[in-house]
Amino acid sequence: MNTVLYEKVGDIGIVKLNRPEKLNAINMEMVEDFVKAFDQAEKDKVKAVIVTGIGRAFCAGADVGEMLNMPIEEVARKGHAPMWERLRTFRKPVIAALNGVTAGGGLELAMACDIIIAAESATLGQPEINLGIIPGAGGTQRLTRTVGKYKGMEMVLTGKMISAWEAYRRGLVVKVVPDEALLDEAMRLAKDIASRSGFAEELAKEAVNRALETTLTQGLEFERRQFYVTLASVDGKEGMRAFVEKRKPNWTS
Amino acid sequence: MGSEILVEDRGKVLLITMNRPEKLNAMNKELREYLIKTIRDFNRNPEKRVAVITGAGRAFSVGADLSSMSQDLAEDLRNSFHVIIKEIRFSPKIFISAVKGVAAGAGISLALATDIRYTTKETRFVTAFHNIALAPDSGMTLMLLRMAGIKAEKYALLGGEFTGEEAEKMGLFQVVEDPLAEALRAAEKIANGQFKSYSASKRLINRVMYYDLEDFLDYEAAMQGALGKTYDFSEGVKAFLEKRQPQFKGE
Repeated sequence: MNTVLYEKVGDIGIVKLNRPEKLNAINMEMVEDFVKAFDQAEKDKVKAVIVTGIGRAFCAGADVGEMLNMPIEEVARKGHAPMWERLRTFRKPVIAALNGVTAGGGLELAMACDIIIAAESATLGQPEINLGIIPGAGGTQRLTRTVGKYKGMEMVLTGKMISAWEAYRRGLVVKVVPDEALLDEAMRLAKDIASRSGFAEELAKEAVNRALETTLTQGLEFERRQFYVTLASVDGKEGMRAFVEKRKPNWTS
Repeated sequence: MGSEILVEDRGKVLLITMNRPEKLNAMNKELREYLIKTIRDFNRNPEKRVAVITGAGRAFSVGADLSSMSQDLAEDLRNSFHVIIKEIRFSPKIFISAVKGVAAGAGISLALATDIRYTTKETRFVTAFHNIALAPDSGMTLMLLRMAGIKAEKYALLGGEFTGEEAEKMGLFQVVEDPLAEALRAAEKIANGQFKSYSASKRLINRVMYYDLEDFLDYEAAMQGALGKTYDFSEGVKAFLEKRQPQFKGE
């Protein structure tokens, strides 16, 4: 595992993209390392994961040189899919901490996470169009659902990069922080999440994600069932009892 | 890099001199491009902390070079003038300007974008834009009004001229005997002092004063782009180059 560094700090997993000389461009090796890092995080039973980049980029997207030389059959059969699949099935909250350039597949990676925070020098965009291609991992879908059709169109059709503050105004990042405070702030957020019931966090994440995939009626139905499950869960009972007894809950998950 | 920009490496401090003295450092395409490159290199160089910007000869800068403007003013602003202003303003490093002689148009904007601004009592500040039927650009309206408040409104609205002494009264500049010497002194002190604290303070100031500068510049570019297509603008430029009074029509 060279292109991705993983460490566990308390009950938080920290995943660092580590190809700084390539602005952390995603190649096949990184896809494998990324999957391994998240497998390890799962094994470690971390309660939240932070994804960030080493150097002046979070991630500049797919490794164009590698992609250019890969037969389309191989891209279609495998490509970077294992990375997206690994993120999609990861049950714990994942925070993307954007430390710099976040472009193309880099922004798609950030958007595949659950919460995005950004250093004030970060820039975000989907510049694929400049290469005569288009985003292929959520850049037209997740982006549009977040910033709306018209801003989404502008970004995807022109490849325009936006600043961290602009992304904040568009609701794409929840918080902009000074560059040197990025990891501390990401840790603070991760610990905030980790201090709560892990089981409830998982079900909550699942329910919020469902909002983007269903009608309101189906979404409300799904939410209600998730809610019943938390009501009956050990942590749910403990949390409600602690609330009534005016004491701090002791979570078991 | 051409001779339009001179760069002097002074350790943690970089001295940047606009160097077209025969043209009063009017910013033509080359000067703007080299200025962007110089400032970007400075911003990326971890060894450097403070940049001093000044002009060679009798002027700081008289702003855009009217003989080298493209057809589309919005394009010029978005591709060069605004890039310069943003690189300075949103840099975590400190910029100091040393202004004397005359500063006009975007030359004033450039100086206002810096963090510490020195000038002399006699320096002439000429807003210039209205003379060629444009509105102030390169962020001048926002920076001028944010810094000097309503006292500066007349310059933002109708244009005009003020001296270094008046600029100091409005809070825009500090008047000193020798702006460059003073700027270099201040630069050394900042570069060798508690730099992180100064850098952090600048960024806090940005959150108060310039949080919307990007949006403003984008709007301003669209505005100037439209003015650049008017009859009055082409008449204004023609009259300026022919050294005669323009005949404006309000169109």
